[in-house]
Amino acid sequence: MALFRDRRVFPRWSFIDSRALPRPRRARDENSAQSVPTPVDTPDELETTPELEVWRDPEATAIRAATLPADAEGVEPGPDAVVGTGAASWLEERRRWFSESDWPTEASDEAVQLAGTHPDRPYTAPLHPGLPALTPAEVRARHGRGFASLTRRHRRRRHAHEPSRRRVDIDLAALEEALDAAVPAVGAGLVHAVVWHAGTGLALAARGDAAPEVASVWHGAAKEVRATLTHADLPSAGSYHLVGLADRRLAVLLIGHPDLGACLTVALDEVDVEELLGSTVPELGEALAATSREY
Amino acid sequence: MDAALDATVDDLRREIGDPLVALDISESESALSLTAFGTTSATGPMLHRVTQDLRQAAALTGLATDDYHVLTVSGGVVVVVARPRLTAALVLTDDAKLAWVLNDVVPTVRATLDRATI
Repeated sequence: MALFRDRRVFPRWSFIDSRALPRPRRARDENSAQSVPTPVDTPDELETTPELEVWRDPEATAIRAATLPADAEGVEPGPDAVVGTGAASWLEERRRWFSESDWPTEASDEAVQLAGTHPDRPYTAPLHPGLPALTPAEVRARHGRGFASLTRRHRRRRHAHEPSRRRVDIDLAALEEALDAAVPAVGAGLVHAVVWHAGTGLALAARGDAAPEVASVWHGAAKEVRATLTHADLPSAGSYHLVGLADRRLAVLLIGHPDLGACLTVALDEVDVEELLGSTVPELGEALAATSREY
Repeated sequence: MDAALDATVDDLRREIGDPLVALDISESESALSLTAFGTTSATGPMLHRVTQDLRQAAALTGLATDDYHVLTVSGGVVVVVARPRLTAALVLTDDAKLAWVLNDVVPTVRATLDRATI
């Protein structure tokens, strides 16, 4: 059983039992026993060739004996008689061939060319590599319309003002690991750390004694700041906002990623600011960015 | 007053050095710009609004803000120090490290603004 593209009937992929297919007229299989006779197999094949046997249907023979004249006894058998020599030899050949481990499981390039419908024109393989790796249910869940959304002909044109909807997959387990790695790097000075979804402001992960509304509040403030900077004749917002808080605390807002935002609140007296802003916060930003994947 | 503000600007230019590319000093209550260089008339009021937004956000989370915040922008850093009378907004190049900004620039601006209001 092998996976072929059946180009003879309609251009669909299907499972075809290659053993049931007639061999192409000019195709020669290099692994067959006929084309590669081994010195060991050849004498056995010659010795085990069955003798000619003629099988006669007893009923047909009786009918023929009743209808034919008496002098027609030596007439050759008709089409109802099957000559078993060729069939038995062909089956035995295939059985021996299939018992070997190296019989082909897919069509070779040469076989594809030989099986082409045109005698001279070479067969050009399609651009798509084959069946999709994802199941149709998964493709439909992701793209909404199954395979139809993958074809350019059916893709809906978007207007210029219409924002394209991004499909984002956020690995929450990796997000927790990123926070677990950042917490010891900050040390005892960590007050709390919150990560939120940049589209909705919903909290995705948190460490420390963070209030439930911290994520949405800082998310809204970061959006306001970003929108205000464009009217302040200043360049667009970068990756970090540092907000000085009372009691010598500092809120570090990570807003550089389009899908994730984070707030790291630390006590300035208990952390090394250079290490925090020079390595810990950038590493946390990179780790958070790695957890988001657009598909 | 004008002489004191000019002296403040000179002090900040001298103490911060080359990374300082723009400065705006405004009144804290009204966001009225008093002196500036390298900025436009919209910079001070807009940063004043940013300060108010951040204060409101911190209050909603049960925290109180200190008198400064730092925004990274493309190619630079914006430092806002809001004292009771005067607010200074500084635009620094991206050569300015954030740790240096927090440890050196913010205390310097804070002290300079306090000297100007006495």
